[in-house]
Amino acid sequence: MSQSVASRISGTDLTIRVAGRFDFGVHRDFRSAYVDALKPGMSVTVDMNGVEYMDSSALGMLLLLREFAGNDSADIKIMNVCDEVMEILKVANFDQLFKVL
Amino acid sequence: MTTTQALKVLVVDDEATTRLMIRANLVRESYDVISAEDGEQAVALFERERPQAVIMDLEMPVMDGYEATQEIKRMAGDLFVPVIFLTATLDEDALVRCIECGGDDFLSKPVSNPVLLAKLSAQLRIYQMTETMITQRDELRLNQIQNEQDMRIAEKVFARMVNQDTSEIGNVRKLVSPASVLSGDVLLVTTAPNGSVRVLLGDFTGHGLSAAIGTPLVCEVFYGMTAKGFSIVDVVNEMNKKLHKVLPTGLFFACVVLQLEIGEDRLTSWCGGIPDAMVRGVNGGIKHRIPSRNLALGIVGKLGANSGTTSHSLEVGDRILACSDGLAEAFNPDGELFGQKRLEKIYCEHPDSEAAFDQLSRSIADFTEGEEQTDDITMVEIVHDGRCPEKLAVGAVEKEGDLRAADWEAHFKFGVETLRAIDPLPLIVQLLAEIQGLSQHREHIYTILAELFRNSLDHGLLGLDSILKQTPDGFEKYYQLREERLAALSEGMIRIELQHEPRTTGGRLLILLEDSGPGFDYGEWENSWLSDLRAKSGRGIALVQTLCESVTYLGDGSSVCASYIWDHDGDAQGASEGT
Repeated sequence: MSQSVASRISGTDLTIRVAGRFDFGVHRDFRSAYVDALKPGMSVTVDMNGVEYMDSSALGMLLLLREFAGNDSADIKIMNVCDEVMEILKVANFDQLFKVL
Repeated sequence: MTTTQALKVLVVDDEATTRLMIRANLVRESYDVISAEDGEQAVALFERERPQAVIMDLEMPVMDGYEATQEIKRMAGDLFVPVIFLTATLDEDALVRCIECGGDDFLSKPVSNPVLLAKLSAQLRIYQMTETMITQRDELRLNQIQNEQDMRIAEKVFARMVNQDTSEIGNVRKLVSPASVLSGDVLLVTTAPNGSVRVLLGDFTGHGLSAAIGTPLVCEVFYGMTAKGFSIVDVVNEMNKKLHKVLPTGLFFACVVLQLEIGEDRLTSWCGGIPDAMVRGVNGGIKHRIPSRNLALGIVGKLGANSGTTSHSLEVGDRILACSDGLAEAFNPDGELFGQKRLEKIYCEHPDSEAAFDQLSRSIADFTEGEEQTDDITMVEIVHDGRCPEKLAVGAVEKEGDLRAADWEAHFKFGVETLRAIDPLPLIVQLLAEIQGLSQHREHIYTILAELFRNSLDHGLLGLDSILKQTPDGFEKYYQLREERLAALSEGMIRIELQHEPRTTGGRLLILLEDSGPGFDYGEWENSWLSDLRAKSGRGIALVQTLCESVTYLGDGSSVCASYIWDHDGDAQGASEGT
């Protein structure tokens, strides 16, 4: 299964698009998508339009992103989530930490 | 091999002039040169000096170049030591033989010095590359051996830690299938001092050593605090605090804690980040779901204010199932997921409730056959078999010699702030257990205190009515109400007085509890507990009655006095034993 991570900046929002399986295989790409691009005061949108499966290491990657973006002060949206992924986010109760749309 | 050290070259030729000429040329290029006159000398010298390259004449007395080369290559073993032949012949067969016997290159006589130097340095490049590879290979091998040894030791330590509780608890079944030597899944089973069964099933992110690293901490907190009588919420909060401190961001511990209160037909649970646990009724079907309402542990420093436990009523024959996500997320060779729905269907629709768990184990094995397991799989089933906790076993401790029980009394008063914030019982019981003679009676004393304290708090101060608990909906409402009213409690107190007096074979502990509530009509209640006792021993206050010599309500019912008599050999003298 092919996996990919792409990112673009529009105004003060950084959008990270993940496609394919969201697991440990993309952890390096996912990290480099925000490490240099994300500046203080910016918001992040994680677009999961192409993700049909994610595992707990992907949850860990989202937590690392949140930490990098300032933990409680981070402004992170997760959008275009399919049912399977929504189920995983729901079990993890990640809506307490992220805006899941 | 460091570059500062000169490379050593062995020159083998029976003609002194050739040896001298080559030696002079190589020394000029800063090589360290040793020489031999025939093959036999060359082999001996090679063994003693271990040069990095050999320049070998073919035709020599005693032992020729072919034979010497074979011997040298054998001694060099894995290490690549280049041998360059010097040949006077252009006979093709002879040249082919040079390579066949292990030679790496040849050079015709008379020797051209630049060509010799070029060939030598080309061969030495290969030598240095292989030397580096061999060094690294050996380091890796050592590391691997060390690593395997560490893993084996760690595995032994972990196994002992996780199975501290060696007494098998009859109504709990486990299936543990780790994906690697050390598992990131944790399954702990123990009993609380009040006789209820408490189970923790958890899953650290990932698997293998990095995932298993937090296990000792979880074991220590879970077993230690449960034995001291702390509530599930206290235990979970403590684990969260400690894990948050030690786990790096991105690693966390999803877990579910289940507690079966046998005497009360009640399941108390706390779930964070683990797929729904479920209760299956005797005749199949899902009776209750236990969804994850919290974040996994170790993610945030402090769990949310609403991270309380959930209560569900049970009937005898109900079964509780919890699994790590490795089960629902197992793949078959076609890349298809096992999935939570399939899991529920197999477990809850199986006609024979006794066989459902085994069927589930088999199904997962069949489904993933031929596919390498990528995540740890752990599941646990608790059966509410309705067997009341037997008269609680008294902890076996070393005999305390002839220490005489002492004469003492203690008073505690808990105001509203304390009651809202903490459960003071574990601390009191901890204190009592330190007192000579009483440590063997810790569980009994805990049960008596806990029951009386809960009555004072629930009925005396919070005004809750037990009748609510008689329907399943009311049951959940009762515990929900309890949480709400406790949070809103603005005045009230509970006083505990303990008096102890020695007797010839042990002592008597008097426990007096008083609350600031309005009291209740205990005449009617005393009749009911007797019938309760006949109907079902081991339920709440009836259990206290069997443990104590007497339990008496006083005044308007807001005070109660229990008398507990104990012996040095661990026996308690309860009312049920015909005192």
